[in-house]
This record gives sequence, C-alpha cells and structure tokens, in this order.
Amino acid sequence: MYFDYAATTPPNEDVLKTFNTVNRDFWANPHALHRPGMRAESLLEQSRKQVLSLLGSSNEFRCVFTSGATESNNLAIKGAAHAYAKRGRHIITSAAEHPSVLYVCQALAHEDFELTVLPVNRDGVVEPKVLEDALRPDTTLVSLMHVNNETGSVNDILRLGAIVKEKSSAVFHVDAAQSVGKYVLELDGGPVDLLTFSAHKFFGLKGAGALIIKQRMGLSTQLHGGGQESGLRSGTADTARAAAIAKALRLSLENRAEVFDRVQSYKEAIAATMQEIEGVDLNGTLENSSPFIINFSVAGVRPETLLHGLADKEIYISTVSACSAQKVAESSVVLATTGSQERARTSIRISLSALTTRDEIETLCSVLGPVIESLRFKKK
Amino acid sequence: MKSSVYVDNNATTAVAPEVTEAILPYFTEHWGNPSSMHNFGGSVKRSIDAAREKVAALIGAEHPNEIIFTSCGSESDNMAIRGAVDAIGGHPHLITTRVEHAAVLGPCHYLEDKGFRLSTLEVDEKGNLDLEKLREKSMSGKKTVASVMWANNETGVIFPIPEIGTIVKEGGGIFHTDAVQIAGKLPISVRNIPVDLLSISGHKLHAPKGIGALYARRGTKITPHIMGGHQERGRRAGTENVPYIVGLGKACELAMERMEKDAQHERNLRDRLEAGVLATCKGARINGDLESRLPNTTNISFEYVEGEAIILMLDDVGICASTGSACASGSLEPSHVLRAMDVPRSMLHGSIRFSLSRYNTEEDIDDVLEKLPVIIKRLRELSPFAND
Repeated sequence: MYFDYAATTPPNEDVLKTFNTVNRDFWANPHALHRPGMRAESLLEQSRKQVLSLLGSSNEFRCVFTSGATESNNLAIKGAAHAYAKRGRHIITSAAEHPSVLYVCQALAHEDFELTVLPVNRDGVVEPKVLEDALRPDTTLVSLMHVNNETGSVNDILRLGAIVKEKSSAVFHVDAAQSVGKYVLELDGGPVDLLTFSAHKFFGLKGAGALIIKQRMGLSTQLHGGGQESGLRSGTADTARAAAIAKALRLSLENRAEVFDRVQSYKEAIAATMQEIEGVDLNGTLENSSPFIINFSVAGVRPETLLHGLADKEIYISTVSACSAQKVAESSVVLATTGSQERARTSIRISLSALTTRDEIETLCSVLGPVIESLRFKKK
Repeated sequence: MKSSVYVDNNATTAVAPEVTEAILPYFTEHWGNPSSMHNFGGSVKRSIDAAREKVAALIGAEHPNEIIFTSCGSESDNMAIRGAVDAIGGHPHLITTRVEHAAVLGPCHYLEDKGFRLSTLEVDEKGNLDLEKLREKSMSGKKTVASVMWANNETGVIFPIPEIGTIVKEGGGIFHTDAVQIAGKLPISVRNIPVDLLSISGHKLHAPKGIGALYARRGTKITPHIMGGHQERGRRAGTENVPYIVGLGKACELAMERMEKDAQHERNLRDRLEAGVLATCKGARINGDLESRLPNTTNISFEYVEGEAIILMLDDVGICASTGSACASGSLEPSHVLRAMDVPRSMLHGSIRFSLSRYNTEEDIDDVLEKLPVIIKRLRELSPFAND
C-alpha cells in the first residue's frame, strides 16, 4: 500500500501507450529536415499547445519542455534573476519552498543577489501582508509554490500574485509541481509569469517537466547549444516525452473534480484517526490545504522508525520530501510552519492520489494507532 | 518510418528493442522514487547503481560514482564547462576548437561574453588539429579549461584525445571531451588517458532521448548546474529518471557486446556507399581525414548543388539523411565544421552526411546508390553554376 504519491506516481497505462507509440513511429530528431523529423516536430508542437490549453492558456504563454521540475525551477529562477539583474538584484521566496527553489535562491544570494526568505504562518502559507512589506523597487523575482510538497498547504497564488503585480515590477514564478493535474489553473489573464511542473507527480513519466513562460518574457538560458525550445533550453527535444506529458495532464484533469472530492474525504478520515492518538499533531491545517497531502508530527517516535514499522506491514509513507530524505534529520518545512524543532524532527507525510482506495484508507487508519503505540511501548 | 531508409543516426537513433524491454518494468512495476527512504524506492536505487556500472564500463571509468546522470548530452557539455570554470574560480583561460558541437561552443561563447578569454583552435582541410598550437595555448601560464571533442558529429573525424589530454594536463588544465558521437561506436577508455570530464548522450547509442551522462574523474571539482535535492551525490538535482537511466545502462552494455561486429558492419556499408557514390556521381568528394574517422559516418560534398535540395529530394524517395548537425539545420548557413575545414565554396553548400547504425542493411545502401545519382544529376541540370 503506497501512500507516497507526492514523491512519485506510477505512469498511467494510456500514457505509456502514447509514449511507446511515439517512440516507435516518431523517434526521428524533430529538428531534422526530413519528413520523419518534421512529423516528430509537428507532434512536439501539438503537445506543447495541448499542455498550454490544459493550463488555461490560449495565447499568453509558451511552454518549454525540460527534464523535470527541478530543472524548470533552476531555469526560472536563475534565468529571471540574471535576465533582469540590470533592473535590480532583490529576490523573494519563502521558507517552505522545495530545495530546488530554496537552494537556487541561496546560491544566487552568494553571487551578490539579495534574498528575502518570507516566513509562513501556522497554516504553512505566506501571508499577503508579509509579501507586500517585503516588495521593493529593486525586487525582480518572487518565487512561491502553489501547493506545499510536505504539508499540502495551499498558497493563495492569485492574491499573492496580484500583490506582486500591483506593488512591484517583479516577475512572479510559481512552483506548481504538486498542483498541476490536481487543480484547475487559468494562466491567461492571471498574475503568474512562470510556472513549473513535473509529469511524474500526475501519472506521467519521470524526467519530464515544463516551464510555462509568459510570451515575450526574456530568460537567461541555462543550457546553451543548438538553440532548441526557442533558445531557452538546448538539447534534442524528446517528442515521446512531450506527447506523454500532454496525455498525462489531459487524463488527470478529465476526472479531476471527482478525484479531488473523494481524496478529500480520505484525508478527513486519516485526520480523524490521527486526532484520537495521543501526542499526534497535524502540521498545517485541514481547511487551507490540498487533499492529497497530510503531515503529522508523532511525539516520542523517530519518524524513520515509524516509517519502517509501517513498511513491515507493506505500508509506504515518507518523512520529508524525497529530495531531502537522505540528507536531513528534520523537516525545514515543518519547522517553518510550526516553529517547533521537536515537531520538525518527528514529522511524517502521507500522500494520496486518484489510485488510493477506501479500503487502503481503512487499513491505514486501523494500523496507524497500534503501530505508533507499539513503537512507543518498545522505546520504554 | 519502417518503409524509409534511415541514414541519419548521428542525429538520433532508434531505441534498441532490448533497451525498450529493459525500460518497461521500470514504468509498470518499479516506479518508486529512488530517493525515498522506504524499500519501495530503495530497490530501484540498486538498478540505478547497476546502470551506472554499465556506463562506467563502456568508457573504462574506474569508479561507477564518477558517472553523473544528466538529461542529455547538451546538459553534460554545459555542466562540464560551466561547472569546471565556476569551481576553479577566477577567470580561467578557455580552449576549444572551431568544429565542436553547439552544446560546447554555446557555453564557451557565453563565458567569452562574460569576459573570459577563449582560444578557438583551427583545423586543417582534413579536419585535424595542430597539436603544437594547442600546446602553446595550454602553456599560456593561466589555469586552463579545454574542451575538445573526441569524434566530430558531421564528418566523423576522430581527434587524438590521448595526446590532446596529455598536452592539456602538462599545462595544468582541466580537460573535457565531448564523446557523444564516439561512445558506443568505437572502444574508448578514460583509464589510462588524462581526461577529467567526458560527455555522452543516450539517444546517439540506441537509448531514449532525454538521458545523458557526464564522467567526472575523482577529484575533479565541478559546481552543480542544476541545484536542489541531493541526487547524484549532490552533483545533479532532480528525481532520477529511472527508466531512462536503466535504458542508458542497457544500451551501453549492448554497445559494448556488439561493438566490434557493429563497427565492422557499419564500416563495410559506409565504404560501399562511398565507393558507389564516387563512382556514379561526378564532382563528389569525401570530407575529412579518411584514416581517422568513425566507421559509421561519411560526409560527402557535391559540387554546384544545394545540400538542402538533396535532402528534400532524398526525403521524397524515403531516404532520411542530413546536411550536418540537426541542431543547426534550421538555418541555411553552411556548416561551421566544413567552413573550418576550408571546403571549397563550390562544394560547401552541397554537403550531405550519411550516418549509419547497426540496423542498416545492404539493401539500404543499394537504395541510396540507386536514387542519389539521379537526384544529383537532376539538381546539376538546374544549377546555374554547373558546366555540364
């Protein structure tokens, strides 16, 4: 039983079919002059259009395919910071961001950019007033995530974005890795300039993502070479990967509303169970968060012990984000959200998806309490 | 694409069926995140290690952890050059050649614009370097970062990398080689030659597009290009693309097993193609050093005709070739590689690259030899410059 869908999801069968078909029939280099190349190119461009249209953009954005959300975040942040460095060198992000945002911003702070890291409140979100106060005339980039990968907290992107646009001339980047495919996004007419996502979070393939970029917006490229992807990302484009991204996104959005409601009820069931166990605290809130992710601190049990105790029953959950799993002992997101180091050291994440069933939730709920109790007992 | 004759394998290759087979279980069963702490991801980690060993074996790397998986050859080249320059600090002197791939020239020119000194070495008519010039530049007294390709993507000309590496190292520099075109086609080994960094690309050796690797010799410092999670020992962030990594491993293993046979097969077909073209087409010549070339590549110039026209007419009869690098083929500029080799003006625009793979057959070559001379003859008749 897998409850770690925020780390990765299994590719959808139909997505795999698309991937295999394209790889078999359209594998030519899409930049080549011959017909097989041109056919591949036309499919590549079609996929791009479809992705944009599924994200609510008909003409205001372009789509640059990348190797994943990490690359997209790197390109967005380094690309925008450097492209607008003449206008200013102040960038803003939040303490709850994914490492591929936070580390890149910190790296920029080392090369004479000035970085403001906004706190998040107990709900795990950035407060509009806090953002407003941090904006300066020389702020060129604000990078905030939509849905937090550890707590599921949801930033009010439209409101925060409106403030960025109203009070500054900064570029607004949103890491939407945990929300694309799960939320309806309407990019055209909105305040977002740059949007990151990754297909393996919604039943697409690993190594496949995109950066959605406002038309005519300049970015300083991070991969120089053949000039593919309008010069923003060199390297032979992978038509099969692009087609698979478009397919995965379309399928995820097709039954999105039904999935969203169903998973919401699962999350409530888990929360109700956990509330009855002594010394268990919810990190973030139930109201202001994504149904797909729930995060608890379990006092008196090391999260790895709990993780392995559950794994013995073939139940897979996680502690922090997989991207930091093997390096750190505490969750920086939970620390930022709760202000408690103890809670940051004892947090676990349960993440759900369209594939999660009611039976699985029932098993999980029946097992959580006894496993936690027995681990606490062992310790004594 | 089944019915067409595909002779553009330096642009991209078909994924080998064995590779597809190796990849599929990693989509359907072993799809966990290898960085997760639970076993569901942990077993996947071992498959990545196995793939890393196979890639290391193909290029003779001593330690598998000298292999860093990337998203493509272009990323490997960018990461090697910018990463090495950044890790050295200060303003090292950059050395490269005029015939490199765009993914090497791109970051070099970017750094030059930022104020770094860049020396670009010339080649002779055969596409060979003057090693004395290289020695001079490497000894300039400044710390150097040199990037010289192992085999050229347009002509197949092979540079003497062992000697080049030795010269660069004598000058105390860091040496990167773009081995994208040679890896899997001919035996190469970094074991006894002084290469610090080496790029390879999956889709040039029958693995999928979107996967590559950078070899970084132990002790070679490079600043990560893509930052975030701790993946690839902190040198390349991003959730590991497990299926493609497994695919690259399988493709390398396959290439190693079949190398001698494949190289001989490709060489036979290539030589037959060249002999046939020279015998049937007037005003044709082979570009590049015939002695030191990839077995699968031939670059042929036809006097007084346009390369693009040849490609499009070949395409009409189901033959896929190219004028040069696919990356640059959108532009009508003549190939920078052939210009660097001083190919005569009358021939510069009429150059075609045929690049073969293990899957090409004698029938493919016969087909080209039957159709190409007719096309060249027709185009010549249309040419205002041709005399006959």
